[in-house]
Amino acid sequence: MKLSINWLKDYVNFNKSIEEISEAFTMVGNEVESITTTGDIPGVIVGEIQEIAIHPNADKLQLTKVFDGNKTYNVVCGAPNIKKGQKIFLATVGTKLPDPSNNSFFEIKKSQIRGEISEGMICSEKELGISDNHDGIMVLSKDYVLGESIEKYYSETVLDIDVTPNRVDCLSVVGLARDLSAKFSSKLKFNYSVNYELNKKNKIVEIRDSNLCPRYTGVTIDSVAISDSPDWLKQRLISIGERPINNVVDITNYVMFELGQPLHAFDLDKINGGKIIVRESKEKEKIKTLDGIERELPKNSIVISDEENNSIGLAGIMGGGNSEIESSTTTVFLESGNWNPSIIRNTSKKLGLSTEASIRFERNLNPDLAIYGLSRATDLIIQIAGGQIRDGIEDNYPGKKSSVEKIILNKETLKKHLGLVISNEKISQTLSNLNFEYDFSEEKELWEITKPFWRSDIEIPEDIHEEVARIIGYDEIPLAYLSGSVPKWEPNLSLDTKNIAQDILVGAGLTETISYSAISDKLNSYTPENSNLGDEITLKNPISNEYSILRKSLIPSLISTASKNSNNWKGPIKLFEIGNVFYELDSKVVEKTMIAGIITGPRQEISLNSDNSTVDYFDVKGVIELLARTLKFDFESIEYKDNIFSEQRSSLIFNKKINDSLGFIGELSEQTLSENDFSTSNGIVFEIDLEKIISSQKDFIYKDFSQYPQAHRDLSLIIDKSINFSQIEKIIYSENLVEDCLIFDVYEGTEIPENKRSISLRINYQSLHETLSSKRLDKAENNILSKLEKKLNIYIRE
Amino acid sequence: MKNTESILKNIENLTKSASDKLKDFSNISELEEWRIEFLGRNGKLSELMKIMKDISPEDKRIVGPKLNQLKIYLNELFENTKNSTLDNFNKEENFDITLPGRELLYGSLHPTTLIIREICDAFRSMGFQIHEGNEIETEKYNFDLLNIPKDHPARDQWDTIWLDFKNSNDKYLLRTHTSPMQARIMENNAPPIRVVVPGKCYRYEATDATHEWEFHQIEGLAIDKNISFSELKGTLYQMARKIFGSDQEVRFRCDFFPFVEPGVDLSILWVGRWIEILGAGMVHPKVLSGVGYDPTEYSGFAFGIGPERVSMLKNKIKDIRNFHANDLRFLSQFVY
Repeated sequence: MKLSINWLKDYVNFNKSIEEISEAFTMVGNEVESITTTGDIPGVIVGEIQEIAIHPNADKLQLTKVFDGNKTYNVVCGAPNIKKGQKIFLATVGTKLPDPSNNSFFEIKKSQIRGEISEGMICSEKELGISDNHDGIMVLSKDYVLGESIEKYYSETVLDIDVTPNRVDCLSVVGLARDLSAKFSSKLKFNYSVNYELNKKNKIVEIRDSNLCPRYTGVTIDSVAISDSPDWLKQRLISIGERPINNVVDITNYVMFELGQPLHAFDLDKINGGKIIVRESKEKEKIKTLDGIERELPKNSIVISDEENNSIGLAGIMGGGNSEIESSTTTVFLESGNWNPSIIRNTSKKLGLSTEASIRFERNLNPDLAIYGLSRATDLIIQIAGGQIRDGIEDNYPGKKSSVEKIILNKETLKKHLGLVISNEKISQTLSNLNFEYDFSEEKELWEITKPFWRSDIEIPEDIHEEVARIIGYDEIPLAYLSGSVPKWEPNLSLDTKNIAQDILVGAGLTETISYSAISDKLNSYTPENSNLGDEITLKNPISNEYSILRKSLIPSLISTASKNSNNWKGPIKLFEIGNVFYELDSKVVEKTMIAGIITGPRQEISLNSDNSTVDYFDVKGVIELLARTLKFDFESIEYKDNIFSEQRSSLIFNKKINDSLGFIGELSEQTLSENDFSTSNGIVFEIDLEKIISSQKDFIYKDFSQYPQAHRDLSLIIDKSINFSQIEKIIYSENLVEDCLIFDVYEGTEIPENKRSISLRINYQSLHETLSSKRLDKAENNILSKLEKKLNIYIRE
Repeated sequence: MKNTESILKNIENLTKSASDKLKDFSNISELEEWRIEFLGRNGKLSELMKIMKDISPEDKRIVGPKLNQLKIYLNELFENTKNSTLDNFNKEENFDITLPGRELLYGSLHPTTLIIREICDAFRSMGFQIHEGNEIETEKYNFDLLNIPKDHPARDQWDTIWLDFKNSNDKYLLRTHTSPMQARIMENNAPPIRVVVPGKCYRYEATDATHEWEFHQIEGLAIDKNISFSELKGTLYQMARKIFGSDQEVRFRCDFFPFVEPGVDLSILWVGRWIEILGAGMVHPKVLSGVGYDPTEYSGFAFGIGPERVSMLKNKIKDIRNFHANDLRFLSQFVY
């Protein structure tokens, strides 16, 4: 809402700076987004075009002589609308005209234009910063005094105010003035009034469905003279960015901005039968609105039509072209109605047509306002355009409420709610400042407030609490710590686990990413089989096709992220994400949290100690082992095949306790890498289900450590290539003196038979009860070796 | 002969004291002191040598070789000690302490995670617990229970991404704010309640430097008997100062959100301008009664913070799209 300060001054006296006013509006709830000052341009004066001559050297330019009451200026002008005798604004030599495009100035200089001297510029509204109109020069009325500076007529400050959707009353100068007068404790210079008799006999309006139209007030005015509006009216409209049209239309707009009540004027002579019908739109009904566009109306729109069912207006949104006011109009039917807000909003949304009228009606404007708007506009029409009222005002009010609504303000509740003690006098004064009517019971400390009709947002006592608080000022409310009882502590396992995982992964050298939950169709095809557990959920109205499907796995996002980074990051790329995935299963939405990562590129930054190696499967397996240790779950690697991974180089992370896989490790296949434009030659991913980690977690049990020394023996074994390390490990650990078993070499080559490999192990032995003798160690080792030989045909490398 | 014996005794003593003294030596300058003491021009060896010209030829024959041996011994002792220590010291001198250490790769948390942790910790210290909730929501929880009627323009504040989800009566959407958790938490817990809920939100909105269609919010909710606006102010004020510094200027102004009454926004004075960092208010009685709480018995406040915006202010990040671009050149800068 654009608010002119001059206009505001009609309704409230204040002795405050623009900054103070702007601050006051912002603090009481409607933020001032910008402050614009126009018309304050030294050097621009009123002049009269006394002569016009053809420019000898240019077709489109003319030579004019402009008189300022004292002096005559030669001015070259290219505007199409100049005429002898016009009063105009002349920017004299030295004037600095604002140039908002680059926030600077354009200085007028004495110059030669195609060989002819020019001593100034005749200005358009746009050049003066008054409006965006640049169709021609700005033509002034006869009343402007020659030589006067523009400041006298057009100096204006306009606030652009972001009115919150609950405050339809503040989409009006009076509404904003009321807020300001309450804040400044200054009396609002305004009263609602109806200055005309009611017409009960010759009604011309018929409301077919009262649900569409709670109220329709109207009046017929004969012998109206349509012309341009007077300067003051034009200036008001121009100052807030509205283009003047003619006096009657300008008045309806003026009253809408002044009181917040949209109005519409019909040329009654153009309406067949002279009757006005309010009805629901017919199937596929079309209407040509005032903007010249023919629109097919959505079902259940509200239409104004004549007796023959021809639509003449789209109620509450825009009038029809066939009944509009033109210079020939003499009989005006003025409408001030009220419309079902849901229907207005629905039609406006479906048509993509939001107007100053529709934004007010959809915000639940109170029907009580309609008649005041009508009366005010009628006053102005008779005053400015002449004419006589035919039969008085007709008021069709099917939605009229039978009783006045009251809201009780209780001082004790107010105090409890705000945490602020306010005196009775202060409360009463604040309510009065807001023009609220009330009865005060001193004894009960209760205020019985009549619901102010202009405030459709006020319904309950808490609404009054806000009124009192915002006018007194939120700053007055003291700061306090939360008091009261302590909530029961609830553990949040999932959050704790997530936080630990985040910290561990960062410590392991991975960087956290957060990517969009929706992905493209193409990226979705890289969802690993193990995570592909249901049907995709798609977005009805995605921002773009890039983000049209909710991801079932974090892997596609990580593939995309790693690939992008591989093109501009030469060090190791180690990324993880903890985020939600989504799918549909058995007609239900499934949403769960996954922990996933990707590693690609070199193992380390190039350095003195780096070996220029690239990462592989075991780098990721190490990460999973670290997570398993810290998050306390066991796992074993079992076979897993997936098209997007290399054969044999992927595994399921399997947990025996829940007898299920928690997730997987996979090395991206060459094809996956190249299809996704990786600049690196490898990429290994993992993904684990957070909930499954939690259900497979084991309790931490502290064990006494041995007081006796540890002994170790190294072994080199020849094993068949088909044998997994996990099989060997299992046998070794079955010997109960074994503390742990570490593998330090794997070798295949010339000295080793084909189909065999050699592995070197260090086995640590320890007893809780004694120092192990070499005899005891020999016995343990022999036990292991004989089992290995018997079960896996493994023997010592000689 | 007596003379000879005492000279020999002196030689023996000097040998012993010279070698003893070198045992304790600890640096090059001490070695130099030793050299001056024993091998210097006026050193102990030179002094002993002076005797030679005063003694008999027989004595000379006995003492001469001994003194010569002593001289050789001391010189060797000096050279050997010097060489071995210099070897060491040369090594020390070549040691380049400025070479980089052996690299330990360390990752980094996402700046959004960092700021969410920071903000949640501020509330945790005031007794709030952290909850999380689903990003897929229903119209009922995202709007209806929050007193945001279907046909009211207030809904325009939340442009919604709807889901194409079949077989259901509810309309499903990606939550436009974390506020649906207010109703869910109240339904699943009995008062007193003090929770914060961080999480992702989504809006049907074109992206630019200050707008993202996917972003985070931290919802907060405190419900009890007798919670007042004053406590809302105190709690949020404390948080703002913890996050932005104890001298941060903070402003509360009236604002509108359908699910609170009164409504408020908290702005901070940042580089000369007031910048809104959160919306809040006293929970609307309709929201309380909507989940079965008696609004005459319980009251409370709710708030919602945009962590990315807070991080942008604190870290002078100009483009919100960085938060989802996952570019390591951006991410790697946020190491705790």
